[in-house]
Amino acid sequence: MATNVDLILNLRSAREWNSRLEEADGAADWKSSAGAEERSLRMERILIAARTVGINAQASSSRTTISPLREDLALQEALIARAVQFLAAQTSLGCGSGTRLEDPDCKYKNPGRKY
Amino acid sequence: MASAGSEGRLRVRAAADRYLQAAGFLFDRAELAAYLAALQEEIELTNAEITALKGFLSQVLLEQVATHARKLAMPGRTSNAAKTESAPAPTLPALIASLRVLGLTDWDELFVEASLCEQALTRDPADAFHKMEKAAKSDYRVAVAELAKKVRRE
Repeated sequence: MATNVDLILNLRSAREWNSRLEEADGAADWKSSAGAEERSLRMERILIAARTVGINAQASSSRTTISPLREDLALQEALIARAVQFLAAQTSLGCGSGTRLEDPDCKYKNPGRKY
Repeated sequence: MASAGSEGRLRVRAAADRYLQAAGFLFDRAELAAYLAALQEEIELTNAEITALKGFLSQVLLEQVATHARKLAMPGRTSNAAKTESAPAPTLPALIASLRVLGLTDWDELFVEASLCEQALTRDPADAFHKMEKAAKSDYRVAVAELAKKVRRE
């Protein structure tokens, strides 16, 4: 269990980490450091982006796979598709393990088998 | 109805993406207000979309933070998305600063500024809408949205 001293130390280190993070890059405080010309250029770029048509079309294409879970999902889908393909191939070959019992063709192919 | 909703969400996600990419992932309230005004010259955003925009802006910024985190965890590996992007990657402090500014932004105020429906309602000559309570204002917005949908259908 954390004591009060531990909490204070953790809080202090978190603050130090935060201030270092902010000092590390001038981009964090970009507004004060940016000149008037830079700001107007930014605004121009933003307004051009706003006036570019086709926001619906961009919606799907700009999406990127970020989550590793989604990548896993794609892999799972590929595996399932492969399994379905394999079962379909097995079924088309005849009375394999994937054939249904009520399939009338099976009686002709396996006459000795009891149903 | 559901498809319209999902389409709206994608549209607002694209709007958030486009704004942050143009702004170099540095969020600024005034710039966003200008962006929304310019965007709505062509496409009118619904009230629900404007309300959802904050969440989507956070999502886009957090995805960038996640990319940084992934690079820190696996320094050798770079994703295909990162390779194809032509714009320079934003720095982690800039992203955190943007998230902080986004969190501190008064979204109610920005909503009033950005929503064309809200702007029309506040032009009420009797100034009744301005004096209404929050819940009553919300009811009016819903009623206007329903009216707009009906007009589009007819």
